[in-house]
Amino acid sequence: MNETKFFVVEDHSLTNLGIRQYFNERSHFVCCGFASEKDEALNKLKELADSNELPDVLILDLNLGECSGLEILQVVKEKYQSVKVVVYSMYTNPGILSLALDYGALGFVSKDSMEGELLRAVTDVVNGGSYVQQSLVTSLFTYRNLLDSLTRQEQNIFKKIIERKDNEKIAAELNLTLRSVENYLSRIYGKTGCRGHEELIKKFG
Amino acid sequence: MSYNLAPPDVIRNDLAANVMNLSQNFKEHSDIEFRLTMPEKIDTSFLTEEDNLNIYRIVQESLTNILKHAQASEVTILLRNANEGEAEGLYIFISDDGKGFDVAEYDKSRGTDGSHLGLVGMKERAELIGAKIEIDSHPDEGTQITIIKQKV
Repeated sequence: MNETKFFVVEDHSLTNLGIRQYFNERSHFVCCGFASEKDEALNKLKELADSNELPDVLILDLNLGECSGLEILQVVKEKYQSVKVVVYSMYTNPGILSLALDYGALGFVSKDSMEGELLRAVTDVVNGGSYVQQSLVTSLFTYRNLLDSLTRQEQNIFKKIIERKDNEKIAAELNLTLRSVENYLSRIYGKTGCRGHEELIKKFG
Repeated sequence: MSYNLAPPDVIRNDLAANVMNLSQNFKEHSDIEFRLTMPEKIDTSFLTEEDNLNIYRIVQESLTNILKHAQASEVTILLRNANEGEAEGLYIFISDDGKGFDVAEYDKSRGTDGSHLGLVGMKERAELIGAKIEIDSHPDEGTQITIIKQKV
């Protein structure tokens, strides 16, 4: 079997180490680097790209907030299209899952699952497939249905809420007035039966 | 009001099927992007024939308005039953991304400046069957019509 080069981005050093050890024990996997946060990850990937040694697959932890894993994902897919990304996340709500797939992740596994699940995801993705943990698929389907029921502008706003952005930031990023964002939000609340950001995130995020 | 209530375009006492027909018709007659969303299982069994007909007409009127006035590029219809914390019933949301209008201004001027959108008729139909109707519109932010018929 061909050698598979992998790279791990994970801020908990012990988990990071654990993932590397788990894959290193398998003869055809070779770790070509790891990082604990965004800048470190992007710098190291750039070095690897310069020496033409980019990983085949990137295993990405998906913490949220400042420098979220979603941002790393976006930059990586933009700069290094050949690198396949498997997300390994403690967040498993369909909104996050859906965004990760939108941004180009090919695999998605919950941190609650057994390590074999991650191995399966990485293997499938390296072999040209994609892998979403089975237990998450149903809720993803429901979520996609929900997105379908929103207009494009409502979807834009909804996705930014899932990324944990507040109304001011959403208004700025979409070039809308705060009032306008609030108007759209009240429609989103109506359709989803939710009454605020928190409830949307709890239910779908 | 009990006879001649069902004109030929209302195929049977099944709102979901009738809305699907309206949607199909809309798609065939306009270039506006259109999406109809409803869960696999939707309970409309509590609607009377009169409920069905009037809700159907409200949806139809909403779509006609969009075609005539909204200059929309996208329309969505969502049909669903209650979510957690909501009163049991049928919930319908018709949204467009068109030019919208100022609801307060419209209410003041209705029927006098030729901009009548049939909203009065829609409200009357809703009232007749004890349904709630909300018209939410803002200039440049499209329009959303919400119809809620509670199960009693």
